[in-house]
Amino acid sequence: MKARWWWLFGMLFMVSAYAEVSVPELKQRVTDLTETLNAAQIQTLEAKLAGFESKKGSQIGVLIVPTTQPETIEQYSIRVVEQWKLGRKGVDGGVLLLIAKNDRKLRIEVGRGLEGGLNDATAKRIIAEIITPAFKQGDYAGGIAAGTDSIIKVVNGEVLPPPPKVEHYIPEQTPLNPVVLIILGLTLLAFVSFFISQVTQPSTPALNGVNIGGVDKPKQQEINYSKQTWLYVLLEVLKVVIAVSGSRSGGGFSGGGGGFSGGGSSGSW
Amino acid sequence: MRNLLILFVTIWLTGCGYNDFQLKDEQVKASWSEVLNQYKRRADLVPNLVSVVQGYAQHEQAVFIGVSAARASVGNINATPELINDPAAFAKFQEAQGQLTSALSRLMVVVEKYPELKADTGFRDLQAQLEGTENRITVARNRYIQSVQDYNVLARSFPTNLTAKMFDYTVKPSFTVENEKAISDAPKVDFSPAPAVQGK
Repeated sequence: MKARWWWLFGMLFMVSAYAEVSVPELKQRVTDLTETLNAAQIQTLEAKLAGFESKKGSQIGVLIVPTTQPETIEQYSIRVVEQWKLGRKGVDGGVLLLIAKNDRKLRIEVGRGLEGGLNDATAKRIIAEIITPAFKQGDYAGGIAAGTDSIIKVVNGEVLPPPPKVEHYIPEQTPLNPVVLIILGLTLLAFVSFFISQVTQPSTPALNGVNIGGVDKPKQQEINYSKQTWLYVLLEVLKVVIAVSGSRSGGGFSGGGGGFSGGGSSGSW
Repeated sequence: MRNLLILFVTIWLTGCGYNDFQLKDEQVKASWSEVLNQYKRRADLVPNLVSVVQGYAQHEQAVFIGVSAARASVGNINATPELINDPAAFAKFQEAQGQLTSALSRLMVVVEKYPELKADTGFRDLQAQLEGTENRITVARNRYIQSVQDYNVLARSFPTNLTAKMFDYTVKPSFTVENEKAISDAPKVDFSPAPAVQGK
């Protein structure tokens, strides 16, 4: 099964392998690959977009890349949103503001669910009247801030289902890693056998390893051994807890499964 | 565990693929509906666009006639979902849409001569809508091509091709390269960023 997925993945890769700009992994709402924005500006933007998402449920992403060549910005943009899946599944209220800095081109890609309010004409106006005037003066941070403000304003006028109570959407719970499960099971088994051996033969030298089953005759260090065993148990539990929590800490930001069909508008400065 | 997995994969691989056909067939239909939907959206835009342009450019009758004729011929084709099972009708549909595409791009070239028209907000909105719709058509076409490809691979490769023969699932037509050429002439519509070209 796994091999099959890799094969599929390889095929996909081969199809799109001819020197296209790759889509960066979605880790946060604002992705700047050109180092145009400073940390504080990204922070502010990030907070604004996160706040909006928790209020309205709509995910807005910002991506700044150096270039989308050889593809057009529209071709690249649709690949980005197909991978990122901004917006909730079924509601499709995602928006991507994509800026190709060296190409001097930008695009607002609008999720299917927002095409009514944030329609092509409105997107074009936001680009032509709000963002590009700032970009022409080299004020990228100002243009992006004002542009996202107007996108937020337009989307706020839309009727969308209210967002769930959580801060942001956690992707579907990934099932526990089977390896972790096996380790967990084995450790549990070890504990149980320890305890049983402790109870039935209180003086088994459990930590001698070879004699875990407890065949040896009792020795005189019962108290010591039971203390060591407890320490060992505690350590193992700790290890397992760390392993389990590590395996599911995706963290950060991810798309909610929203769909796009190519709506929005592009412009240049 | 491992043996079970291998067994499962084997059964899956040698399966007749009947259910896969159902799934892929529906996917092709859905993506085709989206293509039709977006082409219709474009056709609906044409009258408004023509009337706005006419307000400023009365002397371009030839272009207007060309657009109206192309739109009429698009409208004459009964674009049903069954079209995808008829390669001849599919080709005709493609040709008509391609003609509308080139007629529209001619119209947008004419617009270049009229600065007041280009400044008209009503026109700019329509222009944005046309650009957006052309892009949606491109996206819908690409997704259709993808779904047809998935379907056709299933219909032609062994052993699922036996199932295809048995249940009469034939290979579906996709967009051809010639059409692709006609379509890719369209982006002439994107004429607004003249200063950017100079700035480069």
